[in-house]
Amino acid sequence: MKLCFLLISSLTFFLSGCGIHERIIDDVQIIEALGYDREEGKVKGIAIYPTFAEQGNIKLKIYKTASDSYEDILPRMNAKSAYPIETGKLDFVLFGKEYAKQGIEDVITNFSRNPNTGSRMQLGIAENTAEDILQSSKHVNLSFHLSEKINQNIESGNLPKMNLHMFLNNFYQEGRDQILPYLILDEGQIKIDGLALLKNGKYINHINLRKSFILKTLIDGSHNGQYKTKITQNKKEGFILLKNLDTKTTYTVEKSEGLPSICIDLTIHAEIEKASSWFDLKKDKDIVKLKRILNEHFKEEVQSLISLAQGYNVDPIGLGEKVRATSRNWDYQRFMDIYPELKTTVHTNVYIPNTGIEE
Amino acid sequence: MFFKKRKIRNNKDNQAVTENSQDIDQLFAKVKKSSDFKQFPLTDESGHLIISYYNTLVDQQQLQLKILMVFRETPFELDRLEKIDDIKKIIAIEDIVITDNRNEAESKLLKGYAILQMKENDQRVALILLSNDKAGLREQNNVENEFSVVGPQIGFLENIDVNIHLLRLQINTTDLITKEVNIGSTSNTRVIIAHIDGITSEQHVNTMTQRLQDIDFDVIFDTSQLHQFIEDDSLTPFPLLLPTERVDRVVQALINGQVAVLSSGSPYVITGPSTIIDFFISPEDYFLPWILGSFFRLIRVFSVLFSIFGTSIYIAVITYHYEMIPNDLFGSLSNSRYSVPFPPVLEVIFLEFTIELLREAGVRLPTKVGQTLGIVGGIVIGQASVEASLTSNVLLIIVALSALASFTTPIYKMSNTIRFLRFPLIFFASIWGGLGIVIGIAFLIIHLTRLESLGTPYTVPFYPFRPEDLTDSIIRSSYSKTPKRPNYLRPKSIWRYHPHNHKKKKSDFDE
Repeated sequence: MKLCFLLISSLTFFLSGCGIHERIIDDVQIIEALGYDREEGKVKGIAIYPTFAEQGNIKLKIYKTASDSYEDILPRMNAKSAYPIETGKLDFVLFGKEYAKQGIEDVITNFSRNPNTGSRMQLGIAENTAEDILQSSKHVNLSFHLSEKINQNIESGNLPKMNLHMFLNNFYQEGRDQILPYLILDEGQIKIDGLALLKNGKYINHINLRKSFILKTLIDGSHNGQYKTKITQNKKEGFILLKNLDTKTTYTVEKSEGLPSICIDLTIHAEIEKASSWFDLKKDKDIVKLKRILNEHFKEEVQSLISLAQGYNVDPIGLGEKVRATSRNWDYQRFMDIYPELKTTVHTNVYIPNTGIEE
Repeated sequence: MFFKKRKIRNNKDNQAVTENSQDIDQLFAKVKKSSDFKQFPLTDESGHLIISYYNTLVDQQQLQLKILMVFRETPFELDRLEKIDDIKKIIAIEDIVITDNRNEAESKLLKGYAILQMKENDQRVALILLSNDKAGLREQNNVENEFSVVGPQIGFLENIDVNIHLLRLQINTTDLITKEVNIGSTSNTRVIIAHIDGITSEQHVNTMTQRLQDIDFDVIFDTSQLHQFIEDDSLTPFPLLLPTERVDRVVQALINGQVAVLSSGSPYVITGPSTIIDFFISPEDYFLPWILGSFFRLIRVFSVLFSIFGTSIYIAVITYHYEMIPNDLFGSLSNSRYSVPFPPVLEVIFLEFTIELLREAGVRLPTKVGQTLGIVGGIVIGQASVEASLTSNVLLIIVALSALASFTTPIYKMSNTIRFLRFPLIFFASIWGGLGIVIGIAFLIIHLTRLESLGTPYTVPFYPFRPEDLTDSIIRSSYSKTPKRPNYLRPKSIWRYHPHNHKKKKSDFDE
């Protein structure tokens, strides 16, 4: 009994000094999205915060501030806020292209050390400035819609799976470079327009949404998503919209010493959702023909994506990782030198189990 | 310790006084002070055949039919009655005791016996049973507090003989042994310890008997008092023995090898040794198919957990861990808290206190007023306090749900415990958040595993782990899987019944 009392009282005395300060839900200012821009040698920060004053009516508001380095952006915003700014529900960080070109490493590593922020946070690169994009999202009366937009596109669109956690995984691992969604303003609305390729946390270039779908199939396969291809046959032109693409990729490293060569085997199960009217989808002959066309098309696309990446000297697919997994004498520096000459052979198998109509 | 010593001394003083005055006359001198005591000669001759009794304790009809008729109506031949011992031949009453012991006479007189003396100042008297023990007692024995939809609705009564009768109806064997002890220096209450010979471990019976015999108290109103005296540990909110008013529950306990204690004047029977799981078992589980029974039992266990932790988790999350709240929920939670001026702890304590008030008031009020109170309290106060932004409406839902969840416990004493357990956890959550809840759970588990009921562990079959006894704990397995009595009760015979090995069902092709 005495011991019990001693324990309780000592817990009360010692643990209450552990700095567990109250952060009551309505007495903190959460920010849901944060943007960093670099302009004229200064760092500009912009944060979106939701207010929940009225029932069912969420308003997004904005804090802006500028500083000479990124570290004190949040403290400066705090000086403008009625409640302490908390990053616990922050789930989208956007970088302006200028900022990203100089490297986002500092920001990312500090977020990864912060236990308050979630590792499922989404990151992004803005075409011009982060400010433009975040400013235009203010009118949407829906909290957390930016990260939802990216998640939705990962789930059912053309983006490969990504978040802060996976970004850090790629960042620290030898043999794979990072990718982030690339956001543009399209008629005043925010649009995900492909993927930005990064190397060591620095922006290199970006690819469009069609290429990002190919990248998605190469990285983690896809289960759904839609893909449009142009088809020419007998001097007739037509389009095909594929849906419910179920793809699976296997990599075989055929030679890991010297100049490595990798064989990529791509299996695609796809339904044809829409097709130009001169295709007769009821005929088996036409389907076989279609398969051949699609096979060639995908092979071409994958090859062009790989050579594009090799041209930029970035490795978003993680070919280096595949080589590393099979070689005993791994030397990242040497691999990066020979990466542009890396040989890949692509095999594609397209299956069309269904020529179903639109649902 | 200090109190015990004093009690023993008091006891000795009392005995010394009683032994000094032995004779019957002194007894009569004492009882004559009461207005309901009656004493008169049965025949015309004064000072001869004097009957004395408490008017309020005896059955008037029996007195007239069995005694007054014999002595007054027909011309009575006095020579048939030479000694007082001959009275047994004359009066047609089974229980007649001849004694010259003053103490026995006194206790029997108080139990409703009449004292018959041959002559005034005779020391040797006949004690004739005329008691009217049913008078003033309830006769409706419907189950009132442990209601079930399926199954028998028979509960116990204040009359202990009827209670034993109810038990014997179902345990129809001579092995059902009832041992009687009298407890209470003033009330002298009949307490019966029941067990089944050949099943119940001697150890449990002996422990129970010894603990009951050691009780020194003045008036025993109810078994729940006995419960407190014989508990292994009184520094716990958990009931260590199971009080119940259902006959089927007690029968089930006896059959499994537990001991039951009945007390005169109490419709509740306590059974033991019991485990924590026993308190979440409803007899209805055994009347439903085992899949449904198990499902409802699981619901009960989860609702208890929710009831204990619901509000404290609310406090911890709202005060310290807003990161845990899903994005979609954040808006509505933040919005509902927006205009509440208090910190979450005060808000919760205010609402929990309101609910406790409602419950307490609901128990004290007559049923007809109680319904109105429920409506006024539940709807009007709840809605108004949200409107007045004293509490958030999310919290109102959580508190109401956890109050509702605590009612699912079949045993009222356990649901009281659950009511109580919330408050320390609310306290812990408010100072240390999630860490506090974990500390609270740690305290709770340590406390639970240290408890014992009649010397057997309270948390069996989980700790100490007894996989065989798990068949009828959180899951109510099918009857074919539970033919054995639970091991922790150390029953003398382990098999309750022998399930048939059902032949494999033939398919249509075989026929």
